[in-house]
Amino acid sequence: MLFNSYEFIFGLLPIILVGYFLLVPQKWRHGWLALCSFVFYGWWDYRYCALLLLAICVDYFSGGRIAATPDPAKKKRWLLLSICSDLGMLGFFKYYDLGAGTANALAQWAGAGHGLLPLLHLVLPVGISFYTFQSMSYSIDIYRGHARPARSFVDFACYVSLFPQLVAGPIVRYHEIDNQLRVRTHSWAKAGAGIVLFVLGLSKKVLLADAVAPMADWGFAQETIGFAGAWSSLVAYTLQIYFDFSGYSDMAVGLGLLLGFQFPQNFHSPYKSASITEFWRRWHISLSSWLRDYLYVPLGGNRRGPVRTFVNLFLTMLLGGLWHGANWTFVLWGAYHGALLALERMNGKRGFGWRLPRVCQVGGTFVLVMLGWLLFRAPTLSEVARMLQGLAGRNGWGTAYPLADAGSLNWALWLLGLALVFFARNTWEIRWRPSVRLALGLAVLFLVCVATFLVNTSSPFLYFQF
Amino acid sequence: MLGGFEAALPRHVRRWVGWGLVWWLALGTGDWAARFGVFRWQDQWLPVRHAPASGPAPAPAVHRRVVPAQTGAGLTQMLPVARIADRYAETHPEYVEYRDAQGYYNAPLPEGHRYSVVMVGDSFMLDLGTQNVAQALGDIGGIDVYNHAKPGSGPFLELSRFIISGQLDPPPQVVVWNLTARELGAPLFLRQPVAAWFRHVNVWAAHANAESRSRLRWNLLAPSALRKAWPNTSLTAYLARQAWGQITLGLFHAWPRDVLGAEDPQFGPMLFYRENLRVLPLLVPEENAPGIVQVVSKIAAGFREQGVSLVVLLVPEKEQIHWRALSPADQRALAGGERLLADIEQGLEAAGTPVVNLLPTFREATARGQRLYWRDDTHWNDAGIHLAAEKLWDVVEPLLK
Repeated sequence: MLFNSYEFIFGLLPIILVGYFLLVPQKWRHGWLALCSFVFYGWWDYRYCALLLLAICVDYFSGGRIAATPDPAKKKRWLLLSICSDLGMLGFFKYYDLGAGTANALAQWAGAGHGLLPLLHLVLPVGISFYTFQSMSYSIDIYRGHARPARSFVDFACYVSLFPQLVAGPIVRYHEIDNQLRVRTHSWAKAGAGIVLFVLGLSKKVLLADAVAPMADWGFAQETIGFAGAWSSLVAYTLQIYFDFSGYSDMAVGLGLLLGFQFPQNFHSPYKSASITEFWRRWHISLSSWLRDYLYVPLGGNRRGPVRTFVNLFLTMLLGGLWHGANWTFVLWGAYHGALLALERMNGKRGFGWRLPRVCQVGGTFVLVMLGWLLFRAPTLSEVARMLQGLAGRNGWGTAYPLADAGSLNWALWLLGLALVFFARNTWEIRWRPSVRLALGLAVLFLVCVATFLVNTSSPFLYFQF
Repeated sequence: MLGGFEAALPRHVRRWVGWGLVWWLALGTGDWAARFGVFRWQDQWLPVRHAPASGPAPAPAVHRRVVPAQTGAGLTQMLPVARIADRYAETHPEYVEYRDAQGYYNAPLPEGHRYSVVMVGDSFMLDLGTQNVAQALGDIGGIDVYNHAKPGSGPFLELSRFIISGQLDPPPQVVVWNLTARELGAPLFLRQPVAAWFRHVNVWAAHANAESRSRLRWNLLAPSALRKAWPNTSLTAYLARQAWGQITLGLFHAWPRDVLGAEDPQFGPMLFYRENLRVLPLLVPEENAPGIVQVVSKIAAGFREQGVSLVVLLVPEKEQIHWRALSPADQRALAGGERLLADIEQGLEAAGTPVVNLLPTFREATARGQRLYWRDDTHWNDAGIHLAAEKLWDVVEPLLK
């Protein structure tokens, strides 16, 4: 189910809230949330609920055993079971076909026949990358002594399956939410802030991301594209992915607040960054901190000298890229960012133009990030090459997204989006106060969003596929 | 994040959140109420069961009504901006509509007469001008023609009903079957249980009975079905579509999804049904003509065994006749349609089935300055109906002798 869908906003959400606050006794609230989360997840395809349940069972059991046993060797074995189970599930569903296809291609190239491994064409279960990482964090946190085991299976099932952050994050690590699962308060202030975040997140997704999406799609669908079309489309995709994902995160945090949970901030105006290092402190913060704590630090972090630090940074980003999708373009995207981060680390964690005014540094970083998004968006390397030709002006000035058929509205929202990412404060920075003006503004925005997604039917979030 | 709300007076926050929830619940509740009350969504998955009649149902009398003259038709009704719709709307004259006991559009048959021709088809066979094709054919030939057509029934529903029902006994000499260009896809034809119809097996009724055995249509309550049904039975969605249509058409001159306005160099403003522009280019002659010829020949053979001649009437779409009004891209996309009709015509003639392909005739007449379609509708006008009836009579007349 999508947040920007009729069935969620006027179907499941009221049922969840009425049940949670009015019908279900307090001690069963987590059970109710888990049940509703399974409905939310199973609405897409009920068969994959079994996978989610498997991840919950294995990690709950492993976490309990890790906490119960005093023997470090046994603790490690249980941890390995948990990690292998989660990564095995993720690896099989997400990467099997990529691995098999690559192995077949290599075998054919080496003259060892073709079609050695069958391609299964598996459908990727929605959100598997997110919930396996969350679930895995439970056993790791217990192993490290950063968290206590969950009070009950239902509590843990509620944590992993919690619908606001189940399918596209933010990735809430267990130790961040452990206390909230035991005791948390519900307040009108939280509900108010939750409503603000939900409506603003919905607006980012429906009114901005979906409005610039056709411009990005148009550019990437052109056989030959000129300079103007290539850059405007790439900017459109850059805006789309930000408003789409940060909008989803805002909605998730807002829904969490309605239920009394406080999830971490996932975006902090990333396109205002003056360096790639800063960008990764502001973009998908919950993933970058997960990778830092559970991958970069265990690899040795910056404790083993500069060369090893560069290698660790590069490897972390490479795997981070692969996490985003089973395609070599994602690996390249990770490698690109890993290389940039390593180069900046050599430069003392400063951007390449650190001597220039900040506005130039921000502009330069934005261009570097956009070029990264080119690898992220293009399905094949040949398409990357085709777009690069347009970006370099090899096909002349060319034409941009047409103004006809309400195209001018897309262009207006493209400009608005660009202005917002550079000049406006983000939803977390503004100190929202409960005023009549805010209420009216949100009421109108909500109505326009509902009207827009009903007119356009539903459009899935980009990050569902990752 | 919470700062502003935590700093505000608790009763202010409570009232603020309360009003927000009321707004959301009012919107949702109103929409659900309209879904059940106005759109009657429940009728889709919980079909209304009529109490069985206790005795033989009385045959309803032939219904006659005068349909008043009106301005605008199907396509202008899809345009949400009145001033733009007015540009295309034309006056449709008053006419008398008859419906017989079976709900078909037929005037009472004079005593001692019998139908020698039956016309089977869809909306092109209805009263679209001052008369329908069956009436025009009857007037031209001085014969009685039964109109066995209903709107939106596609090419096969009425044909199969006619074959299965055996309602006309003795059988007519000729059955004219209207095939509209946008329906000429071989997969649809090849799926039809033609042999069963001629054994008078009503596969449609069997299917409907099987469905009605279960009180609830569970398949319509599956998530995938609900995802489609809910926005289509939502008052908010309806109003949103209207408003968005007005904004896009009024401000940005972007045509709605289903209608396209264009300027015909010869006849001026014309509205087109965009669905035709999406469907017609998909009908590739090589992939569709052989299958269609095969199935239609089988049907013609079935009729022949009962002593009835089948005449196939190939009806072009408005987009294929007024193609000059369309963009070059649409013109290119529609180019294959002419050959598809010609291939079907040739194939049927070779198989010995009489066929009337109206496309070349209509194009010639249009080139001479005769407008055969309404500006504001996708169907033909009186001139088109009359020309179609004339061409049809040329083929039907020898079969009646």
